[in-house]
Amino acid sequence: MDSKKRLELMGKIPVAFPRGQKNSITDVIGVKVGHLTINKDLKDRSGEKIFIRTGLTAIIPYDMKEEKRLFAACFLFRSKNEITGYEVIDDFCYLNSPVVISNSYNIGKVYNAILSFGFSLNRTEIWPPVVVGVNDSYLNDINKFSLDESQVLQALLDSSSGYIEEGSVGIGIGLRAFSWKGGIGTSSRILSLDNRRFSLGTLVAANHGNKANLEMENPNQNIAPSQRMNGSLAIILATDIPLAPYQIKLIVTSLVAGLPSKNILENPEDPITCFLFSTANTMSLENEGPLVFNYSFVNDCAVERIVRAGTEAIKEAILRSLLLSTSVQGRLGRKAEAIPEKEFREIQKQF
Amino acid sequence: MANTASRGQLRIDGVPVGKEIKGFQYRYGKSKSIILIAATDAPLLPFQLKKIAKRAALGLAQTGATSNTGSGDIILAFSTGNKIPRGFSTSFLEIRSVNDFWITPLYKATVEATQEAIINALTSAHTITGRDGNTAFGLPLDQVKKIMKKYQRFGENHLG
Repeated sequence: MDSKKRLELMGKIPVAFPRGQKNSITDVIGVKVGHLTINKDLKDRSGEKIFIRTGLTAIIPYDMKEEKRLFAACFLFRSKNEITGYEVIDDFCYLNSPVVISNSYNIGKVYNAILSFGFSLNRTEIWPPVVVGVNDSYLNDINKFSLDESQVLQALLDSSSGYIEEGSVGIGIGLRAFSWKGGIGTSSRILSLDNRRFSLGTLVAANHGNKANLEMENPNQNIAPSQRMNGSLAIILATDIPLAPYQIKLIVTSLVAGLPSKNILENPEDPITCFLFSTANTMSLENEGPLVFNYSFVNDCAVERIVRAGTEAIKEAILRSLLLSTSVQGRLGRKAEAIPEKEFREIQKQF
Repeated sequence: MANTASRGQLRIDGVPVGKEIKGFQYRYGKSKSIILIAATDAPLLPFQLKKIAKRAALGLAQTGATSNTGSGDIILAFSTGNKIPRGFSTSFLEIRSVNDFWITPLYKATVEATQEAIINALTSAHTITGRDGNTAFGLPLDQVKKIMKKYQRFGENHLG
């Protein structure tokens, strides 16, 4: 597909809620995104070719020079989700770190780099670091390369609030979705509540829905373990709507339930991680903070519309990740092809 | 509302009162349940009230109870610190909540008050005989006083 065709198809994605100006998670004021893409062909000692198709995508929730926490919640659908800091967030309902998506083997490096990021800003606390792990080993030689901590730190420092790259970029370089080239997609929606304008943005890393074997005609045929491709879907959402922790939990659960069945059923082993934070209420940490915080929360009646807008944005972000990803060649002679128009339309039907 | 655990388990301030009590033979029955309600005027959010409810269970444990099988233990915590208007008359609600950093005294108070409430339920209840001649004996306070003294828990001014 050429870029004109892509734009045309993107324009056909139906919208009930207006998109934000950038149609990106960065439409939520204060949110920044940074990519680090490692796309290198190396040789190991025996002269064997190594394919590095990895990286990371970081979401900075607010200007982290300030010492404060945001309300957040995460829903882990199915097991095998890899995420650090989950238990703390589930228990205390706050986010106090960037949210970074990297490959599973780099989680530790990224975790350390987030701590260094906090130190570099003179924060007294940047904990718990939130790193979401995805498996990019279909294309990437995951066993042969790990990120450098200083590279990760630089990517965090270089993150920006402008338009963000999508497709085969950041952690998206090595991902595959619906057996086509997957990757990063983003989208946003505007909601009016009581004549106040709010943004809801999402960024997804689509690495899910891959069939075990594309050529497999007989569904009862044994699948060799090497052909099993476990993927995952990571969904990060940001909003400036003032949400209470229990509302955020309700929303992340509902958003996963609202995904098109193709996302849920194509590969029933794929875990889905859905993470939402709200920038509206902050918990200042200066001098441990006051005894009592004053919050403003949206009334529960708004939750339904937020879920509908969020579902729409997530669907669009997943479609964009497919549309904007370019073909990538990886290890073992494998290639993840950019999705052709016909197949894209097939998938879109189910959205 | 205390209707749970077996006598031998009862502890007051760590003293194994249940084991020390002599007499008052009773017919063994299954443990039934306990209902614990924690109310506070501290402004708290739902996730914080869940944690208060968990702490009430720690207070229950301090009386020696172990939530035996068949014991339906229900704990409810609520806060009067925020008033939420009925219906959807306002789009936004102003809510206050205690900073988690400073919340520990509430947890301590929950554990302490829960333990004391359960002991108060026992020390206030008197002997009742019911169906089939089943008798539930009130805690023999004179024995309890002696046991507490034996374990050096109380000075003279405590139990009067």
